[in-house]
Amino acid sequence: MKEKKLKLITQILAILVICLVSFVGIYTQNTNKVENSIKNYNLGNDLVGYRELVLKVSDAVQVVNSDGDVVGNTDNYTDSNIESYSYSKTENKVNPDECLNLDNYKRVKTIIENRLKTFGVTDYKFSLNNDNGTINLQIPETSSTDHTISNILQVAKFEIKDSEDNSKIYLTNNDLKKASAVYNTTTAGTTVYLQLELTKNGADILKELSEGEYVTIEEDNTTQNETTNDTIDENAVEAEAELSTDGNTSNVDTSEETSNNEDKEKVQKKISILIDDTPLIETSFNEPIENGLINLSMGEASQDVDTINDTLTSASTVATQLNTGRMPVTYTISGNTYIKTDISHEMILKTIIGIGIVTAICLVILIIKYKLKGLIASVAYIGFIALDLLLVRYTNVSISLEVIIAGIIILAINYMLIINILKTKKTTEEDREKENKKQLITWVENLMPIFIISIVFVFTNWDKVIEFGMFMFWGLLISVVYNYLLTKNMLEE
Amino acid sequence: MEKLKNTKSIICIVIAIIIIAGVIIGSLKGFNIELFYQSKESVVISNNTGLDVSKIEEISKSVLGDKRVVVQEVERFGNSVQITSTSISDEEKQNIITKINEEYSLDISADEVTKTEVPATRIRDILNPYILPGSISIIVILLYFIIVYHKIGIYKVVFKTILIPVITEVTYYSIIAITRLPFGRIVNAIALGLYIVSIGMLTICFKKAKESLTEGE
Repeated sequence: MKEKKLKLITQILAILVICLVSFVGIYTQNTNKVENSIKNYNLGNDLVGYRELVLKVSDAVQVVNSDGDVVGNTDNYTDSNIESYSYSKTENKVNPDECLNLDNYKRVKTIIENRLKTFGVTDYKFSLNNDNGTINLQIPETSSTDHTISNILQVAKFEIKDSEDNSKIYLTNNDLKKASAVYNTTTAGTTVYLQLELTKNGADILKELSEGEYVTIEEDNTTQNETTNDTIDENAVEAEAELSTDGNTSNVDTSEETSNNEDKEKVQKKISILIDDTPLIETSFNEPIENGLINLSMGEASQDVDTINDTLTSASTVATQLNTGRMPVTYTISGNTYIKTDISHEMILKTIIGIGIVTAICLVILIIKYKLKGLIASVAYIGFIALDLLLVRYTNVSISLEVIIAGIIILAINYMLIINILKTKKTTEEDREKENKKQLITWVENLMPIFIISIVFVFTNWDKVIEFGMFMFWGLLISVVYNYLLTKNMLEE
Repeated sequence: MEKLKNTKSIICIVIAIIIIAGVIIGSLKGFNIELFYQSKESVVISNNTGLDVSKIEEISKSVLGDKRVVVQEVERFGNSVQITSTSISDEEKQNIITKINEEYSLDISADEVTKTEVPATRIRDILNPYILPGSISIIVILLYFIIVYHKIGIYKVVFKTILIPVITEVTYYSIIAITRLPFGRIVNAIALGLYIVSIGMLTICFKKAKESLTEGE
């Protein structure tokens, strides 16, 4: 009897420690201040704030250089820039009037949503004005928010054309099957490639080009393509390109035309690969390209992990933009602000107090009905709440409205399990183990469908549902284990 | 037994009435959408010294009258606030700015403050993220129930597994439509919880049915 009492006191003390750690924290001296070593709660954008973007259909006009080539538009160049570069504005709008229709706005919506998903942004709010195409987008504020914003609006216009004659456009986005970021490691280091895979039609055109007028002339001094390596397909075009870290392409002209070229009878013709009118490469073909693969090396081989990662991110960003398709309408960011949530701390506090009051009433009922056992069960229940609150912090779950609802369900289920334990009939020592096993099986059977839902939710692609599933799964698991190992033990006579 | 049947019938009739009323009100008047998802207009007002959100909210409500108003802090320095309402006319904008200028002794010009129109978010877009996880999970649960409770009758299990969660959700959204409670973020979070609860209840029902069937044998 005495031994049992001692065991119970130890268990209650253990619960008390869990409660202290969870509700109060562990404070340690860190340089000049005392800090809580227990991880803080991670609040979701519902409860903290979000980035709000206003995206408007661009009314810019094209800007051309002295040769009449399009170099950008008035969204990229200010009047003073245009003057200093000796560029000039044209009458051509980047968005011709016939492009401005609901179908295209809806296509833009799909493209932006696909890009957001690829960039890992699943918890967003998108609203579209059907009349003028204005988009209001709310996305969570994270360390990658600015990178996402700077890359969702790229037009991603892909072209392979003659480097001299702009009217000869051979391949466009329609001929592009897939773009991907790949890398190859040699003794010199790791080289990142943007791999462009063409459709069958595109591959045929490329083959024709690589066998025809764009074959490298032997005597020519133009840049030779890099030596093909082991893992990157030897039959693919390989060329150098350079991308800035935000994914915008920058012009790198690898051609080093020599003056004696003009003297030659046959002039070397080259193709130009462009993304958003920015040439990535000008090149000719050493051998026929039969498999429709183009590997553009992104910078030089490197052994620095950070450099490789940055280059890979840039290549992936361009690949994402190309894979999600060409935007039929050019957009510009007219508003970009961080907005704090309209759900005030006061409202959150009221909700917590409300949940606390309901829980307290339930525990009082438990004490009134089951007396001492009810009191012990209540202590165990409070210990579970403390454990659950530690769980939410250490599973990196962002607290959103969905997670709060999941928490309430877990508390309710835990309460039902405790009542189930309290209602268990007295058994002899021999039958106890058998009964315990039976009870555990019943719990698992009853909760199995909810476990299944939680697991399915964890593997979906929307943050709020994932976090709901994650919290639900761990909460239920801990509830079953905690009650089986601790609460049951405490209530046994 | 007879009493239980009567109670069940009454519950079914009540649910049917709620759903019919909800569908009628929903199709005639739609949901009372929360301002967060509604078509709205907003203005951002900033100064160098700092603005008190509750004070600005008070001023905005006094100018905008019965219209819904939400005032939120913009950026992290506490010197900008965004006033959002279903509509803000130029005159109302001017009045709000005048009152803020009086309150804080500022000189903000209405021309400096631009009004942004925010289009409404479609209900389809709001609910869309929930549909795929809900559908996949219901299929998996259905398979689980068929395996475990096939003794009750496969058709019964399939019918109930699909119908009960759907009826629960439809009844819930009908209540939201009838009571004109704001349709917003918390409503959808609760819907997710109700889905779990309905599956939990269904499990207990199936288990009881299976047990009574085993006892009968």
